[in-house]
Amino acid sequence: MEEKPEKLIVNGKRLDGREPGELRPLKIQAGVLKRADGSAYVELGGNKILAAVYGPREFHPRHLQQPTTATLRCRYNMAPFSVSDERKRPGPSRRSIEISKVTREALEPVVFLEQYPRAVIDVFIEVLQADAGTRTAGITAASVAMADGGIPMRDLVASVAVGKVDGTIVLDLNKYEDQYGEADMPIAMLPRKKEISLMQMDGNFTPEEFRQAIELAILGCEKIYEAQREALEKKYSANLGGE
Amino acid sequence: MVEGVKTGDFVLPGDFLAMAEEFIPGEGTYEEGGGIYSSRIGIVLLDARTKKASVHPKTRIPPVLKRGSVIIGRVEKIGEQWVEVEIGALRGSENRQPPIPDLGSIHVSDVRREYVKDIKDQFRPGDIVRAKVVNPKRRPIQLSTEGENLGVILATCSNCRTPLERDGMRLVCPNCGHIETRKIADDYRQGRL
Repeated sequence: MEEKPEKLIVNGKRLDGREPGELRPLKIQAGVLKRADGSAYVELGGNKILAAVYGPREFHPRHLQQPTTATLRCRYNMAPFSVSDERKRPGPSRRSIEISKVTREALEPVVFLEQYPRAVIDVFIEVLQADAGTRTAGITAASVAMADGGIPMRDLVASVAVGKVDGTIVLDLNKYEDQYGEADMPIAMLPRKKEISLMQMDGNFTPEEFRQAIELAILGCEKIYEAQREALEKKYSANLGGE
Repeated sequence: MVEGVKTGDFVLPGDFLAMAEEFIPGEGTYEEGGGIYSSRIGIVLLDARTKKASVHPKTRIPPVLKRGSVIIGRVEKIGEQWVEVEIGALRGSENRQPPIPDLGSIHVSDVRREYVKDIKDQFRPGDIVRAKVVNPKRRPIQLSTEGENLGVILATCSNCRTPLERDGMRLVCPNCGHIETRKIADDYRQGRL
């Protein structure tokens, strides 16, 4: 592991030259996988994430079927080559199981699960390259993938992390800020109603800082939401013939 | 985001379409808090006559059985009056599994246009059939094989399970010479769904 940089914020700019409230370069692409029912690819700074959605389809084992609603199953997985320093041990870990669970809970409020009783909707999030903030980028990707798959949804879900480094509230932490900063708080939001469906926190904020951080996260989510919309519009409104 | 949306506009999930007083939420929409919103990616249709707001999908969507849609299924059971069919795929979305495997049934009177004396001369368990949905609301879903293009598209010999070959209106087993009859589709065993 590299050494801790002396200062994470120099002259009001962050190590990668960003303002405190600026996102890393973001790229979203919808419908990238041919055989998946819905898919999306997201690049956020050094993060490269692929999401695939299958279903609603028959749920096996059948004793897990819910007679009144569909089940949402999420799998967050990091590729062994996704981290730079050393090869990650493949397979589920304590961390990835937790992230799968919070991802499911972040996405569940937007999906009309009750329209498909007994079925299952599978969401696979594969982290190909990780650079801090993979769970939020994963949620962003999964929500675009679900919309791409035509799964009935109330809204999209946009997600971003906020944190505190050198006493400053910053948006979308990078690897150094994540590792050496004072706080890190991933947030997922339903943009239309501004409802928060994921909030975790590592480190500590004062109540005032927390309020600021949430506000910054909402702004960040709105930017991400715009990019999600653009990606879906680019893919699907093109062959409309004059719009 | 309360702004006017017109018919033909492109919308994404969560986009506001109309007030609930003005329209009835139709396909691809939902009602919440007095507003109607889109639930999928597509083109808005605000029908002034029926007062229905709906979204015509631009993406591929999970298969939905409607009256008149063509399905492919497998004959599971044969009764006196009904054949039970497990619905495996829907024409138009062959690459996507139906959300839950549905059971369909064909009544003797819906097998073909003519009088059917014994349903066992028309279908046998294990046959792959192409059928049309008559009533998707009933359980099991009511199907029909009336028509040239509908009926068995693959059948196996009831003696030796070899796929049968077509010989005029009959089916002949190439292995044991057994002769059987079915309600066959005009493109029997041509590999088309």
